[in-house]
Amino acid sequence: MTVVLSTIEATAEPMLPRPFEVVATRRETADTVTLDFAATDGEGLQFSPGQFTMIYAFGVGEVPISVAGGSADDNVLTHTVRAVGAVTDAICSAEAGTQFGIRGPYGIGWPMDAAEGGDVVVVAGGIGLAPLRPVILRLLDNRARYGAVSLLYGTRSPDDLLYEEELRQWRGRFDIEVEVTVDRAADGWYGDIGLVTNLLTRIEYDPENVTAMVCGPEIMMKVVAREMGRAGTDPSSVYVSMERNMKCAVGFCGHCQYGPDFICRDGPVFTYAAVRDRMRVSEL
Amino acid sequence: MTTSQTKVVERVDLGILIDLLADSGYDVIGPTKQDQTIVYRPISAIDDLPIGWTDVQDGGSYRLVRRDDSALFGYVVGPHSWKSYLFPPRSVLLTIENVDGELIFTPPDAPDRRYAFIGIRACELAAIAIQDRVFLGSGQVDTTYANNRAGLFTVGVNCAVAGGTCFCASMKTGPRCLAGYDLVLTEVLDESTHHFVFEAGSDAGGEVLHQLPGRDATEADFARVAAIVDDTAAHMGRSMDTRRVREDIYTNRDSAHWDRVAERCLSCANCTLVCPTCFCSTTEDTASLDAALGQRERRWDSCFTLDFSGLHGHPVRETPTARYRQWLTHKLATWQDQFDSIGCVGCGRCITWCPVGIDITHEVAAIRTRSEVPA
Amino acid sequence: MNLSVDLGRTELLAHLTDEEIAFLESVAIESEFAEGEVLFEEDSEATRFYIVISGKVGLELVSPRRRPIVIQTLGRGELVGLSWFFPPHTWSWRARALDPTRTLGFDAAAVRAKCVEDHNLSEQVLRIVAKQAVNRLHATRTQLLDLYEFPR
Repeated sequence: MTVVLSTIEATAEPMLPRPFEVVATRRETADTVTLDFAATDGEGLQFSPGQFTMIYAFGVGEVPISVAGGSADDNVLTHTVRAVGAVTDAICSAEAGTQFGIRGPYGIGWPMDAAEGGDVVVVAGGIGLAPLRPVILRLLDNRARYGAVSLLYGTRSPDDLLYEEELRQWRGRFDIEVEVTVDRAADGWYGDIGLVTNLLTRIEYDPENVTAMVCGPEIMMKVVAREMGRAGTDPSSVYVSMERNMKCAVGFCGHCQYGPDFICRDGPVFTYAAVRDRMRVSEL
Repeated sequence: MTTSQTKVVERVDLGILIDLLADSGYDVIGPTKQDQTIVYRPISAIDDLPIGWTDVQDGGSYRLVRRDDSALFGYVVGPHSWKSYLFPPRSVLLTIENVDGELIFTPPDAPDRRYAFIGIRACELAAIAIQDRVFLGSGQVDTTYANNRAGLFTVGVNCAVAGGTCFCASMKTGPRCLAGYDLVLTEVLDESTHHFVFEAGSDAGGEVLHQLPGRDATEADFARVAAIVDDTAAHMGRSMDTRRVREDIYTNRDSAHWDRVAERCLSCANCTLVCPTCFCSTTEDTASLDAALGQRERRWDSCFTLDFSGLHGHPVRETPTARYRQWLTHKLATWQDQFDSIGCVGCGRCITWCPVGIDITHEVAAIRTRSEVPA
Repeated sequence: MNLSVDLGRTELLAHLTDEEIAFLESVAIESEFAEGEVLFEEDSEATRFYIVISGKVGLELVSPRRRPIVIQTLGRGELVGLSWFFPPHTWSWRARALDPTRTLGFDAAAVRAKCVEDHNLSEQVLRIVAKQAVNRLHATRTQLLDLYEFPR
């Protein structure tokens, strides 16, 4: 392959953010905050569930963050951010009115269309519920297009649950089965205790006609995919969302390489079938 | 505009080429001798070239020594590659004005210049073609690279000597310049003559060639050129067998040899910095003390640093084993999946500039050995 | 027997023969536990083990100095009680209903006695108990990694 230079058109600057303003914040847990952003030029950001943006904090830096919700028409972009470094600290401590630069969205998201007509099992671990929240909202908005829908959610402790109010609402519905489990709990926890895979045997789904969308620590995703595989689900029907260091989000910086794939461009969502072999290699 | 396809130019007239390019508005860059190495810097005359010098290279070793003649291009490649100009070690991505909390993002203006690279080797033309695919040919267009690349004029050199760590012949990228040049020259030097056989590779090259004094090249001239490059190809310091190299590397992902390399590897990143195809970068953010102005810069990064794979404060590739495996696997295997070509051109820089002399040709041979044993 | 559940269609017992299912049915009773009610106490004799039909059962460690600590919860289709199969046939944890819970309870002594004479049944039961034990061991090991706090 030779690049024909005359055909190259420098399109819009791929690394140029647009200014967005924080319009609302909600504290989720001790270290995690949900923020609603609005583009200052009034033009909302159109995204698909599972895509991410790059958020730039003035003078501090830029990080990839999954889109957790929003609506381009209403000019609302929702992100849930866990404070684990300088940039995420800056985002989590921002007040309404603070401006950030946001570019994107990037990446290939969850298979919302391919999942139509069958059962859907959504499995989230910890902060992994954030990129799956738009999936759940989409499923519920188009409920008739899907079979049985379940959400299995595991966290470390009840204090680490995201979107508690929404979880309660979803639990109260008859068209989605919601199971929540934690690794450990003090008194006053009425939910489950144990690994999220334990919940797989309790829900109704057809292992041979299901799409699973799984996001959480890599080991958790691997264990979920393995258990579902043992129950008869094809690894190409189990989708996982991968994460690696990322600087540019457009395939130039090289950081997010995962074997032959650039997670920013070829992912972040992959079928388990595509990444299974790689998930057996450490430090890849 | 009239063009010429070939020409034989005498040594005394070669300076005209630099003048022509400079007068046409090019920033002319060429090999120069600096700090006992040959590096690519702006040149304004033939005398800026490393006349009469050659380089002696081996694993972890580079020495400039005097030749017994006055060849202009009688050496191979040094620690710098042309990527320093097209994909600079540092470049500004954005400036950010902060007006009472209101952020205004501005990309830098496109630079008003065109480069002319004089003395670019076959392996380096191949390297540019590879970086073209990375920065221009895979969806998004990298603005910095595209701006620097626009209007580039290249004068290739068919290598008349092979370096101790060269293996372009086995990588099929050289020693004869194959594509991507505007002009290519072969230096012909013996007791009776010192001249350059030029061929044009583009209309722009043909126009420049037409303006150079000289005579048309003959069959005899081309026979001499062929003899020179054949002799160079026959004296490569190293070689690499690329057949099935991707499959072999994937098959041997758990080879014990990765650990043996890692025991020597210092994770210094020299190999990635001297590599003409390595493209990884990171970003750096700064702000003025009064927080009125911010800047995002891009700078070269290396998969050998711990930071490179850092995720939530913890590196994914913690061991040098994993980092070396990432680099070599990318260069020779995953690169093929990503960009339909191998990521190595056989220039040998990573071997020469490795402080402990780790040799990609030896290591890949050792890593794939097991898969060559019949089951 | 008047069970509301078809034992043969229970996932846990899917590989049993009709005769084996018939036997288990003959020693099973269906029972409901109110929220907070104890299925069995720690260190007590293992007379009855359960399969959960609906609801939720917590395995608890009773601590003298504080309220019970729930180690794991068990739900639909899961086996409550493993120690009944092995001497000295006493429970290691307390099992308590955390929600209103419907169960099938099996006479442990009768199943053990039958297993002594019926080696095929013995092997099937051992398989079921071992599989549950292995699943819980895997889950516990994964939990020990504290994945959500330290993603890896």
